[in-house]
Amino acid sequence: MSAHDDVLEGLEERYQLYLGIPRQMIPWFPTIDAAKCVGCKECMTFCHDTVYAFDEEARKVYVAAPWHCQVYCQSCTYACNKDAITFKDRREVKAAIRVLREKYPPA
Amino acid sequence: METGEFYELQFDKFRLRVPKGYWYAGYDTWVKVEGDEALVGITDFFQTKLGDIAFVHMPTATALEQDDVLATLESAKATVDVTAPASGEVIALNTALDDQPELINQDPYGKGWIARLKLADFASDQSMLLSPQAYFDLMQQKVAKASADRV
Repeated sequence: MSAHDDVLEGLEERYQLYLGIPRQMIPWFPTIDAAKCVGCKECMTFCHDTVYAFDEEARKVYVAAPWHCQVYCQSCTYACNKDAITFKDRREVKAAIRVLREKYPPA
Repeated sequence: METGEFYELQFDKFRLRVPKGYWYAGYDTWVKVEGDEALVGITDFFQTKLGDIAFVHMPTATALEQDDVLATLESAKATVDVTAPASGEVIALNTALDDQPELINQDPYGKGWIARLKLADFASDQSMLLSPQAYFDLMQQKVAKASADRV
């Protein structure tokens, strides 16, 4: 099976694979607690990978492109003054990647 | 460009180097194996992107797994986590960085090392790491993207 067959359609090429694994299979992306988000957009300003977008109606930020998120980067959490951003536990994600690596071995 | 010791790329006023003889993680950290120990740190690309480093917050954990947070760096631009490229017991921290965090900017692969690890299972870690050539290729893509974002 080729990882290229399983990449997410419409996703820009540079975001499609992580270590040869289709990016959308890796559960690493931010989650925003809408109750805490005050819509200051600091996270949007920080993240160059356009993970975030602004909901004009709700006046809050939302995760628009989770698969643009760099695996293991969680530096946007420092940009957020309200502690509204969380990520899954790294070790859980690592375990998931190990399993996926067997399915999509390095070329 | 390739010389005997490293791959090199000119980016604006910066010269980004990727020394041979190190292993790299896709998230821009390196590991230099010395027997059953290793030094870990961040790459030239990472330090360039971050700019002048003002503070280094060292790990409090004594044992790290690959992909755990190794340290946190603060520059004027941002605060970022550094991810450990290998698993092992932390046997030394580069205490020189307390007073001279700029060593990471000046010499990221040498005097700017962050921690020394007693390797736990490098053979396993290695399957998730990149060779200098592979990391150099990845870095070129990142640089191209960074350049495009500026326009």
